[in-house]
Amino acid sequence: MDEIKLLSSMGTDMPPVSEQARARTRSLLLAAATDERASAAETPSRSAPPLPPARAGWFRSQARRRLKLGLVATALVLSAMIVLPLTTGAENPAHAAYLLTKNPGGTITITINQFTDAEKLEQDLRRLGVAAVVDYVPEGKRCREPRARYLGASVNRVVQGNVGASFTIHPETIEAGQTLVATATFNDPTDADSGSAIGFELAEGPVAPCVQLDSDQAIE
Amino acid sequence: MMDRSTPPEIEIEQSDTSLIDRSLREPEIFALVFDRHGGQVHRYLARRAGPADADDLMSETFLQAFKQRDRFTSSRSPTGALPWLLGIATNVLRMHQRSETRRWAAMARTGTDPAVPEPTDQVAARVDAEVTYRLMAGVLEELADGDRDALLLFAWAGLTYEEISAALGVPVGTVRSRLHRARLRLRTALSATNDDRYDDHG
Repeated sequence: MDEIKLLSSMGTDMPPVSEQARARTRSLLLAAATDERASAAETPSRSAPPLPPARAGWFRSQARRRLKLGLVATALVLSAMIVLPLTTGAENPAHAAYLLTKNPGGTITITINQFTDAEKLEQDLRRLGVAAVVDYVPEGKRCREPRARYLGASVNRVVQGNVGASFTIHPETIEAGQTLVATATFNDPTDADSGSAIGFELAEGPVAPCVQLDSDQAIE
Repeated sequence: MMDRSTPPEIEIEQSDTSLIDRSLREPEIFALVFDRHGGQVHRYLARRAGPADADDLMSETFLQAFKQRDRFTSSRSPTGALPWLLGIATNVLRMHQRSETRRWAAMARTGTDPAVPEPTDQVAARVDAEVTYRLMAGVLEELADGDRDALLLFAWAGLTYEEISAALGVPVGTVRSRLHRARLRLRTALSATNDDRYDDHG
């Protein structure tokens, strides 16, 4: 008798992991990554080996920052886009709707303070050489997708999350004919803290405008 | 419906070790380790703790793995990150052990998995297996933790002795004796059914 064979037949009818569960774990990992970058930035010795995340800065910074994970999971189901939870600290001054900084290495940092003026942000980004389409969608809504031909994981080379609702773009990685598509969801347009998620996609060719649907409406 | 191209091959061809190494500087990269192994880790957790808890246990496993990824060494886990991840999953399960043993106890009594709804057309086919499952669940419930871990990493996750040793952080000799003991318990329980099919082991 092969008891291992018998044992192996036990529990083979388990349902596979759902897309929602995958998306949720993925967004938790990205939130942890964002948080780790934040703690690393606070650590003075930047040349030191990467900080063991379980130590000091980890819990401190997590307590101070509010993680907003709301819609990340549902947004992620759509594709392999990067979804970064928006985590803004209270110390973040909310003057302009957003701040754009051109960094010495050629990268551009966007910091979103308010979910308004998406169109102007788009124009400013274009002026800085980044072809982008930005949409702010109220919580409970989503854009009808797909509205472009998305390039999947290559968007990982284009955008990185920083502390809070701040992102670093590497414009040189966006090729001619490609567009960075950013879609953020929020509760209160004047409060960056109310953001629940921002998704980035890299698209090849034209991008259709965002037609808003209820987020619980079936995916086409 | 428009076409979507697949992610670039480069990411797929990288070894677990190089992904984890890169993730020390670019923590977002760790999500790719999850994309690669999430399914198998989830399956292992679902078979042990039941499908209802598996999602949360999977998240917990990968968050813990993320936090201790600087301790991952390819010399300890030369066949990739899966044994390491399953070792972490096993520790996470240990913290939720009561739900796992309760599940085995229920299965040992009823012969069916309380957590998995059964399609009716399969009920007849399952009746034969029922006695066997009850007995095996009874053994799983009673096994010492370390013996159960070794047995299920071997039978359900398909790990080798060396990989189990890396996953659990115990010498290969210990893995061998744990597996020997667990298999003997199973064999004894199963041969008892041939003698007396209606013996109540619950």
